[in-house]
Amino acid sequence: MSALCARMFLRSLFLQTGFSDESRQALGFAWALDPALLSAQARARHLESFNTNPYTAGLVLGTTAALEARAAGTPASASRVLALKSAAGASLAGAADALFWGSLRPLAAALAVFVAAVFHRVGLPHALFWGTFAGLAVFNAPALAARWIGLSKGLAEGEGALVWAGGLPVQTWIRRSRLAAVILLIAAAGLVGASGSVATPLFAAVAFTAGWLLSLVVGGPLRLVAVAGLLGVAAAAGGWTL
Amino acid sequence: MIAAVISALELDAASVGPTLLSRPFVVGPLVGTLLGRPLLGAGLGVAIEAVTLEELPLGGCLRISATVAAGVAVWLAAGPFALPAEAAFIAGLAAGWVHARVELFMRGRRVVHVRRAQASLAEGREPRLGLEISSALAAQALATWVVTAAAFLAAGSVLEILWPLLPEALRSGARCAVVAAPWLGAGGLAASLWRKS
Repeated sequence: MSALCARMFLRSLFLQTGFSDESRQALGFAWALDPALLSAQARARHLESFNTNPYTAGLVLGTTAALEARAAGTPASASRVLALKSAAGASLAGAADALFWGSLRPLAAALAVFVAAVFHRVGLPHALFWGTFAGLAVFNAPALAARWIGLSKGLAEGEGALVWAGGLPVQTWIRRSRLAAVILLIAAAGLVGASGSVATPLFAAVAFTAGWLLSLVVGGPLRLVAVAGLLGVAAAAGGWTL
Repeated sequence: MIAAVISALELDAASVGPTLLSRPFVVGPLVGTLLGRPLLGAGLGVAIEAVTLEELPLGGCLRISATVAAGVAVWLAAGPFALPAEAAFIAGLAAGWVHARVELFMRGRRVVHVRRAQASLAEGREPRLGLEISSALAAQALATWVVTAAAFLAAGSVLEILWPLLPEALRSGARCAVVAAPWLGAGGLAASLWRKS
């Protein structure tokens, strides 16, 4: 079981390889599931279009592998496996997108800048390395754990693993990591701004506040930066330069 | 060599992982270190991270390749062309936009891998899924390498001549945008996360 789990886990890292508009993650999913499949019919079933968040794919893979082992070639069971796989993939993706992309990814970037800025300020060596390492660690520890635990639970418990996942306090994790990201973003922006090494502290404070207040009106950050560029052109034409 | 490093890191954006190795806060300092300018790389990496962090890869959505944007920007600023950071920032974002278009084009055609595997099964042969995965990875890396190298050579050659000829007001505006980018992006993102939490 553990050898199968390790093999599927490593292959699950390639889930999105060959992502296409038509089949989405089908190629990667079929390759990751392949060690657990015995029949050509089962292999053909899992080359159909499939999409989920990559970090919850372990749970879907494990559950599907367990159900395929029990299906034993009966057509009714096989169609049930496909229906469950599709439903689980879609429903898990919503919460996982909000947790990993919407919360942990900004948290990782903010932590990386914060740690690098603190190390630089205190005079510790390798500030950039440790900042990057901290950012990668805060994201990958839960991401890899979600893949591994989901896969092993799915293989061991089948559908029971989906019930277990449904009881996890994911919304609380999302709220807390978003809050931590906000605090770290403010702290990192403040630390780098106060150092005056990139821009004056006043300029940094005005830009951060403008970003906060104008994000609702102007939209995404690229538009905000374009507006800043236009303001910079206007200011330079009036005699002010940075 | 730099294009190969950026291509390898770009695979993490969607093909392998993702483990965030492809994010600008990693790509910027790494490419900057390889070119002997780690702080410049980190600065550009953070600026591009700030403007692309809200781009979420949901449902295969892709508007800009942050990896290519950061890699090309740092290569242009810290490499042989030594462009000003503001010129490199704009050129990097343009390269990231072009790479996203190439990626979307490739996504429309990658179904061929699944079709080949299905055809093998229909003929009673073992589908060579590992080979299909490898060829998809190789095609992706090659496409990124071509876009990155072409963007570097084209933008570097053109901007090296044109940038100093631009009016000072335009260059100053671009400088203002790049310097403000990390704080504008951080402020906007903090407000968005605060509202959601």
